[in-house]
Amino acid sequence: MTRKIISLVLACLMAATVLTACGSGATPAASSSAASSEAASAPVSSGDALPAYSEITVEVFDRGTDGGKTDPTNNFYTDWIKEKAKKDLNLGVTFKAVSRWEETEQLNNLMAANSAPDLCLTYSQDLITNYRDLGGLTDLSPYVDTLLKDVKEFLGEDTSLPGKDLIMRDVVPETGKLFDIPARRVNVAGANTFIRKDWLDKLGLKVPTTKEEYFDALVQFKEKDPGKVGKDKVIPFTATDDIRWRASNIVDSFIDPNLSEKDRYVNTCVDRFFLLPGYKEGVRYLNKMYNAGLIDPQFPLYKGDQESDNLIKSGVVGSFIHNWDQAYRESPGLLIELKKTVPDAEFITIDPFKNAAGKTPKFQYDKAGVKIFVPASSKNPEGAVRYLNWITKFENRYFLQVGEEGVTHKMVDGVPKIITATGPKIMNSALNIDYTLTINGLDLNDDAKNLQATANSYSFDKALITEAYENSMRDGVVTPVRSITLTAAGPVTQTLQDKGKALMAESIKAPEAKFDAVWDAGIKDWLASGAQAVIDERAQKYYDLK
Amino acid sequence: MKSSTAMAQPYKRLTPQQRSSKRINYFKRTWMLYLMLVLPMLFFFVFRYIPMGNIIIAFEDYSMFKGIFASPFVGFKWFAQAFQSNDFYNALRNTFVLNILDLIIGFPAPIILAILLNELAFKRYKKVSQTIAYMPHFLSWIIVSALATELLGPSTGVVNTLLISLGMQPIDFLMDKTLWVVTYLFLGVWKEIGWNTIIYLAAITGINAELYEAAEVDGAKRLRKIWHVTLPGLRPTIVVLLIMAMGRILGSEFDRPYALMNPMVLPVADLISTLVYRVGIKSFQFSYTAAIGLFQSVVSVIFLIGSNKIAKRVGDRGIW
Repeated sequence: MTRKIISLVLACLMAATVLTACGSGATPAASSSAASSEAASAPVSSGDALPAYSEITVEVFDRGTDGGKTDPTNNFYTDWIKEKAKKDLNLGVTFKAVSRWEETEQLNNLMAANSAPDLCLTYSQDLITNYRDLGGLTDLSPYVDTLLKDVKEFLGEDTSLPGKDLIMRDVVPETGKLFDIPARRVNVAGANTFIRKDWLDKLGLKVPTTKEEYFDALVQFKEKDPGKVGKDKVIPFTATDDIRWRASNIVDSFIDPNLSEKDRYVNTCVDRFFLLPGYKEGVRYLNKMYNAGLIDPQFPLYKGDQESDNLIKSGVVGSFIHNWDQAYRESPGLLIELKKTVPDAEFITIDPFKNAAGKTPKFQYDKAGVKIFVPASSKNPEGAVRYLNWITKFENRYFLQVGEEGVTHKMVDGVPKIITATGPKIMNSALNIDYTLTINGLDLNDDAKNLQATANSYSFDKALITEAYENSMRDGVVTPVRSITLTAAGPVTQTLQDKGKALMAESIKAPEAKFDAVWDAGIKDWLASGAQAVIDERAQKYYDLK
Repeated sequence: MKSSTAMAQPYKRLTPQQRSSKRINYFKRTWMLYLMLVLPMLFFFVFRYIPMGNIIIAFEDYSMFKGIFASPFVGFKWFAQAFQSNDFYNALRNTFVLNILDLIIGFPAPIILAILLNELAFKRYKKVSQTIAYMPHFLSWIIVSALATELLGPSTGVVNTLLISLGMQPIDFLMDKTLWVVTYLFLGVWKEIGWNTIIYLAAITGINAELYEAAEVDGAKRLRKIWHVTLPGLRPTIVVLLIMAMGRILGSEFDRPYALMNPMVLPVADLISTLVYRVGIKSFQFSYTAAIGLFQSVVSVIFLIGSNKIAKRVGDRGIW
């Protein structure tokens, strides 16, 4: 089997390399320097004189065509873009579909064959680093203050790097070169804790405001079975094999609140907080919950959310932690489905996990979203950059985000409410995120309106959504970032993630007396598997912001 | 056929001219057959042998933008890195252990089933049970692993729900390391037993019925017949399949361990194939994983040739 896989990979790479060899003689480095000199001499587009007609290709995710979706490369919105880009920029735009589910594989093949679109995007920072180190990307730094002015302004300040522009997030500090540009996340709310309000009410319990009350509520759920689902069936707290994430609010509240930014930065390894002081005590708390029978014993067997989601929908789950709005989303439709079997079921968000300083720290998303890049093989990097800037302008992205009134949105209290369209004007991705590139989430140029529009987009009470948002944002913690080229993590990321799952599962399921031994052994193995090298490099390259 | 008459007189002495004209005649008669062979040969050359040239990335610091010709040559660096890695040794050990256990348990099972089915007098029953037995072969491992969770999960699995309702302790088939190995082996047998049985049943059909009659005349009962007629008749098939199984002793399936794995059993479930996927495909270390893959293939070929030699030495025909 392995040989098959390897030979398949080799075959693909072979085909790719043959094409590379036959392709243009220009090396990636040569073409990227050519591009930057072009940019330096090119007139800054001021709008009065359009440059000569040229063409670009732009990557678009193909998310499958279920549910009446249209061809992602040829539909109402791509027609709109093509026509307007032709008029505004004198630019011919072609879209190239890349499967959302095989994004990395397909991009690798396109990149290796020098046939990637002029504008590409990926959520994988590893992929970007890899391409960059191999010389596969175009330096965008010459365009930042010329052709990318609107992008720079729209992205604004980097919340993870105070005082810096978000557009410069991934600049290489040694050379000042910039190989990718992040999208801006409008809504950075991360995690929330959900609990069955109807169960609390039936037991006469008040909404938990401390860890102890939360623990006690779960114990009562288990012992008294308020939902009448059968005592042995009640799952007070559900999770998956990624329990690090699915219990993050609980564990993160044990992290030392006086931790310096430096210690947090250095000891955060592949986005895992295992090495932060206090984290172990958080896991010990989960171990205590587990041994009290509060956590689904099968959690390591759930490889995605599906099994856990099904349990929530079937009404046996008392509480869970997930995305800030997970219970209210149309998909997976947890509360919607649950209400079909248990009409009076209610999920509310709570915020009971206080740390030593009395705050309730929670994971919050980085403002930087998907990463956009121009491959070194691009024949028209300037066109690609002009397009990126153009689509970031409010008048262009706004139409793409909300579409036509009465078709894809209606106005409620002065803000648009997205409605489900059918037919040719259906959006393939929510808010056409696959076309707007630099924006993730609806932006109306006004924070209050943004929240209102967000609350509008659910089928539940607005107050519930607003409360969820506020609970999730309260004391949110953004993982610190530095503009540093880190190389140690790349090759071991997947190993450390998988071993991290094993570490969490083994420690939580251990008997209480054995917890220390299991955790310490797991951490030792984790450090030896590459984590030590990762934090050593981070310690060595860290710099103070001031 | 003309060729057969020509073949019938091989000892007739020919002058060199006659010999070469004979060769030309032979070629004139058969060139179409050779032409037909060109296509499959071309297939193997293009899709099997040319890609093998890329094995060289195991000795290079491969960059997909530079290609295999421009990437720097680094010798045995990746092999050295693999042999210094605990994860690699762990995966190697797991691959050996699971495959050997699979061989011990999984290999004889279809032989036994084939013989049992063959002894059934009621032919329709035989056909039905044969069909039922090979159906699981068509399920993917992803489905089998989902079924396993449904059936064997410690709290919601059907088996454990039954045990609990009988007042017994639940058995953690999927998350206990030892029991996981048992489950892994059992599911492998369950899924593939019927499929491999077909091969043995076909071989049994080929056994001359006169041998059974002769054995009966000699007073052999059922077990004697199995021992002295059926099993010797199956021997060439068993040897060939065993040699091929030996060639896979270090090879590893990917979907089976990957689907059945969970974080609790990672230390015993991580095989070379899953290691290659995680470290190579997901983390872009193509050279490193090509080195591991090459090592795996070389050892597999050694096992294959070795077991073939042994088979020949003990008097069987081997596979080539």
